[in-house]
Amino acid sequence: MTALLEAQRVTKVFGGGLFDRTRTVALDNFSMAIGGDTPTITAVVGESGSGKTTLARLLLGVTSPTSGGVLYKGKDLRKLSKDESRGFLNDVQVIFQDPFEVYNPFYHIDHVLTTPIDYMHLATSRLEKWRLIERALETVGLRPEETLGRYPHQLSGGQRQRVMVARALILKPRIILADEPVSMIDASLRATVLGSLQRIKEEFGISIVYITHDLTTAYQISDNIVVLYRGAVAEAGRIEQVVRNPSHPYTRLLVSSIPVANPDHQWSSEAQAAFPEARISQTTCKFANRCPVAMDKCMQKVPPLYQTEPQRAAACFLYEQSPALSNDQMDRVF
Amino acid sequence: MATTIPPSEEGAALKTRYAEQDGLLDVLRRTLSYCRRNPSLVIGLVLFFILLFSSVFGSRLVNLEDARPISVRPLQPPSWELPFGSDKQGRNLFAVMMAGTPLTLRIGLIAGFIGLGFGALLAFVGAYYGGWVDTLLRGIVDVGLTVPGLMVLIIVAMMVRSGLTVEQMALVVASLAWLYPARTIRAQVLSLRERSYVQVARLSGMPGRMIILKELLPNLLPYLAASLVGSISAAVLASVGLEVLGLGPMDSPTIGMTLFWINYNAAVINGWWWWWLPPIVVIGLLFISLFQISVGLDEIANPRLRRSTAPLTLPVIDLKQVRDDVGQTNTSHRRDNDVLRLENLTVYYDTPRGPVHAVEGITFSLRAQERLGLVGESGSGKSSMALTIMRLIRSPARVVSGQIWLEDTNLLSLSEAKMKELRLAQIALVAQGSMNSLNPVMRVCDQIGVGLADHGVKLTKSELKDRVNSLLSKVSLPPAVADMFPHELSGGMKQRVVIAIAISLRPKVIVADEPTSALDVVVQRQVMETLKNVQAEIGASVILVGHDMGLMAQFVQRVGVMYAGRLMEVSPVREIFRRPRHPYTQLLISSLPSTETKGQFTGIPGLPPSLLDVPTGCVFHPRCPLATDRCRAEVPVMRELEPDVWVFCHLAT
Repeated sequence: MTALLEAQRVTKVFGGGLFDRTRTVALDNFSMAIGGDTPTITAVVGESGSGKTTLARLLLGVTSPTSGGVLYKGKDLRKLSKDESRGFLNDVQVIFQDPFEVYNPFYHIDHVLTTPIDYMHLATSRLEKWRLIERALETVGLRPEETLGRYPHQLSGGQRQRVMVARALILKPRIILADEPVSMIDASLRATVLGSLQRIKEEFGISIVYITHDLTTAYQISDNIVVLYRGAVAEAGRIEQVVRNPSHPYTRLLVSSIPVANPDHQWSSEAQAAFPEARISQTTCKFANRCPVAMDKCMQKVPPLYQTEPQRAAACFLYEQSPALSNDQMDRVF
Repeated sequence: MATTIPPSEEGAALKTRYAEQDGLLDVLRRTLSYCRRNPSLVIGLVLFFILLFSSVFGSRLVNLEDARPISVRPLQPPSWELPFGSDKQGRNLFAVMMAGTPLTLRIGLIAGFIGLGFGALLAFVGAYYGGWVDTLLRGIVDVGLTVPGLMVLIIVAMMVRSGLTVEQMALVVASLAWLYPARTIRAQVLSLRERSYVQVARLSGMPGRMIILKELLPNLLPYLAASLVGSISAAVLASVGLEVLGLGPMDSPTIGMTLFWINYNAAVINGWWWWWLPPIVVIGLLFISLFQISVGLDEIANPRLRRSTAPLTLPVIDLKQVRDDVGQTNTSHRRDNDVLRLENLTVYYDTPRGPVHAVEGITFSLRAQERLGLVGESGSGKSSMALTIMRLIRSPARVVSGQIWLEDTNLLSLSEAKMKELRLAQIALVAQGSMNSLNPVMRVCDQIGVGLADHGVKLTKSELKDRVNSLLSKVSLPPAVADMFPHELSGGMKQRVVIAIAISLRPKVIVADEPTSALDVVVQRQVMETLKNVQAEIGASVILVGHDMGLMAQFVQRVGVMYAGRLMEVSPVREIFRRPRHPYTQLLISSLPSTETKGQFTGIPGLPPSLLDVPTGCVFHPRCPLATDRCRAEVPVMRELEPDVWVFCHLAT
């Protein structure tokens, strides 16, 4: 069966116009399939500049890829008819990073909840509309009578973000893209947002793409993980395996840099990783200049993804003996 | 819930709950409360309406027919009968003023509204749809703006000169009035269009025109209102200008026409000074009113302008008193090798709704060469405290009481000049997001040099170069960075430059307020390790302010946990993680996600209290699972449970 939403060999290049000689490859030949038969939470992890936000914008159709395509039900997002676009909005929803900016300061928070119902014609009566809203709020653990009729600044960051989850729920999507949903929320309230994400996956069968730079929260809720480095997949697989036993040197660096909340478990004193250089050659491994185990080969060509285990792949010549995957075979991993 | 209540009743309940959804009264009430807080707007609007309707009540004071020629004896100076005198053609100037003001304002209003309305429409259409539509409109506007406006208006006015009415006059002025609003409003729409809430609305299926109407327009209202005021005053000025040149409605007693007659009859040379009074009074009042309205609108649009009147007040410190205080207050953390000591520090923010208790009675000390963490959620007062330590906190915040001792100096009793000397030299700040505070047009070496020069360090060029290089090598940056501009550096490198500046004068204390909040984990680790190394090297003490317990575990030796402006617990870091004593600390630590366990989400139930209305007794009692009646009634004291383990709780053992 084809996945609901698919990125196929997507490349996005910024700049490189007539007067702009700096060409930035934000996403390089990236493939991914979301929304298959079993709902999953897939974490997309990477540092700033790894292309994760570009990926989210591409999957939403906000920007178009330079090459390759994003397919909704097998059809390119750029070629959807009006009805199909509506269907797309219904099926694919998003949760943004900043839980304040997403609210129009002019309105009560009710506004973001009533808007999808009004414009997507989801309720036949006023009563049904409010019942929908209340159900959605209760699902994310908010009391409607304490939430509705308030202005965004009267709610905490966690509550505001859960209202956004409720908003997405009202549309009964099959996929939710969550772009750093908890990075601007206090630690003690993050759990509430992550908990509601996990709950909607289990109760409503919604697949979630969890985009983040935080491996710890990714580990908490995700099934699968894709580690992006400079626009390309460094490693992908089941999250338990990848986080507990990282293969790619970059993933190892990421995992070892997590500030563990345990004073007895100090950052290992392994040599500080070199700073990334601004310009990266397109013909070497992108991580080679920071890699502690870089070989000559790494400076000569780009490593493909090697399938090291049934549900795991790493783009590193350390795993050369494993079979190489072409980029559109990423679905073999998940 | 639905199972216990029959559907019809549930419906009724829902209906009553949302019956008052209408919001008209709400809007009215909000408008009224605005007016009370915004006297400028009210004064301006009242004055404007008095001018606009001056003919209505003017007709009770004077016969407005007297505004026509040969109504009264000509050229009478002001008297009891003719308060503003009369002109050469025998008009009663008081009647002219009363009858003419609304005409002038009508020209201003018509031209202002048409100009703004048409300009805004073009701006919205262009900015929203973009593409060739926008390019075309922008081109027209740009060309239009280069044409000298008054010249065009004169030509247009001359072409339709045969019997120009007031309304025609307004249209002539409006023909160019839309250009400027079109330009400025477009810029505003462009910046609003990128807001996330516009994207959210689009993802909710809202069509483009509704997004303009419902999402963009409301947020532009204050700006549009302010533009309207500008438009009206520009239109009034333009029309008066045309009329003075004799291109106005000859039969109407407008302000501009009065000026025309003054000029025509050479009133100044002939000594008929009173003729000038009506235009001066009306134009004066009109611009006072428009100015007040725009000040008022500005205040609505930019809440930042609503400044609290309270100055930054520092408590007057009587040293004898301080010694006595110290005896009574909690001297808990005092030791001989303390570098920095806060005694009972209390900071409030004055707001219209009362003081916000941001920092309440904080006492702690920082030991020599120690790394101390202050951890808390947003709104716990940790950043206010960091800024107060640096004495960088500004109105509406105010230090209510307390002392900050840097060795034997109370920072709060120093003059501003003395404090300026101390900052950087003795106590340095690495502020939140401070990598973005580097001056974008200065090379790194110059930025480091400025701090040194400000503190009287005189260096030759080569000495400075050596100094900069050694500082950069301390933060593991290559010497080449010295000649770079901030935009050439990555976030982590910029943050290291900030650290290099902070240590340039070997301060005793470094206050690092969320130094890595916008950085990735790998870079965060590098920056923290850099900070740790330089701290050890120069022997400084560090206060790390943050919300990340993981970072605390990696970096500090002791942790202070803040909640609602108070310190809940101060203990060695191992103790905090091994055996947290305060219930809040316990919940905070159990809510930490880790890669050890999966899928457990234990947040802290409830929300932090409003700092305007702090709970009685222990501030944490509303969320505390163990709270007793005592916690609700009685404020706890800091107790030392074990050596070096201090807890602000009645129950902790």
